[in-house]
Amino acid sequence: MSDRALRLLMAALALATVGIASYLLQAHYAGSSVVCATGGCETVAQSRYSEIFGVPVALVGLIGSVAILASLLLRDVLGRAAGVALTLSGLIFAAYLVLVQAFVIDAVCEWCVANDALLAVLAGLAVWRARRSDPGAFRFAGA
Amino acid sequence: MASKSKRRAGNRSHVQAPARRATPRGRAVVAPKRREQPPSRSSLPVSPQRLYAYALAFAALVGALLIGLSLISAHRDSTPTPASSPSTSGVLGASQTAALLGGIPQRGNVLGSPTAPVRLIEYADPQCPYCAVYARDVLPTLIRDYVRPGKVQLVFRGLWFLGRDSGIALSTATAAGQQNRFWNVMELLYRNQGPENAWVNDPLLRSIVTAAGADADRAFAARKGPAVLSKIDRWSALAQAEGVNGVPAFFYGRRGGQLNRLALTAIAVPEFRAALDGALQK
Repeated sequence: MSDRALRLLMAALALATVGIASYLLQAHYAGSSVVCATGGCETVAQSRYSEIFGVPVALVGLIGSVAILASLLLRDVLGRAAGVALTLSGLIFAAYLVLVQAFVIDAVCEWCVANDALLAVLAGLAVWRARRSDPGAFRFAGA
Repeated sequence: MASKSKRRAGNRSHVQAPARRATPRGRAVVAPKRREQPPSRSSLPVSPQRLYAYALAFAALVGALLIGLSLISAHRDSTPTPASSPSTSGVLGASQTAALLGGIPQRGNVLGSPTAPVRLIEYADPQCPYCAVYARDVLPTLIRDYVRPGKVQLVFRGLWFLGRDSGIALSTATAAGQQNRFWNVMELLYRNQGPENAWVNDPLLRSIVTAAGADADRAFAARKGPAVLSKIDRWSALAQAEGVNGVPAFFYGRRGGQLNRLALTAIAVPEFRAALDGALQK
């Protein structure tokens, strides 16, 4: 797969996360409910973990997704490193939110899980892209 | 030294313009073919290896920072500090409450369409933690699926057996009910609930009433009046008559029909859904 094709694939995935985050953010500000098979989305959206000091978590996700998209515009090593940094930081936070949903809120929001899964794939692709374009990029980390 | 100059030379050749070749006829042409470029390498002052080290450090730091902020924010939401001024800045959940209840008919302690076929009556104390769990985890879904569509009307009957703070909070909410903001105040009380008998004070209540969209002066003037106190006494008498000995307690039934007590095994949406759907199908 060429680097261009890889970047396009990552852009498509990042666009999907932008869509999900925008939908959740719109529902947050409009006070409307989201389409949800289990009803868990409402519980998660109303929980105290849905905001960080008044800032909706969906907005944090949207900013992150847009930043990932922007990093894909750079074709050099800086863009690849930025992609790794952004997707991995998002993945760490997403993993924490999954644990919070499972063990604290005791409800699962399908949209959030879908977004987290996309982020996991994006992080994997970002690391793969970095390793094949910049051999030895992670040698310091023993990789 | 030698390696330095070699590197410089290397860098120079990297940025040189496309080579011009002399043709046999002496005309210079630009090297024609542009092959597909490999992913370009940057001429950054740091090595790629170091750049990726920074990237990983950034990811760990930002991830940890977001998690830390989320935990602090969530902890702050669960243990509120009473507001010290009558502003609404210290009140948690004001915008969510406004969004949750906005556009729903509200009259005193009753929320929802007056023609809704089913009623759900809740007995609750403003300081009861399980009542706060219900308000946080169940009520939003009930409002979305049953109250907004006009299927169910919610009735709140406040009790204050957990102490003086319960009485003060309840009478203030009931007074705000005269401005049809009872439900907003109760919802905000639950969102700002603190340790038993150690969180209700007038500045906080004033902030909550204001955040609920009611006139705080008017509510404060009315909260010790006979209209408010007699209403609370009536709820207490009704609770006694219904045999309520713990909160939250729920009764449901069709309008004008007999009320059934909702036997809860957990404060969860499915328990309420089963009861309300059953009553709606009758």
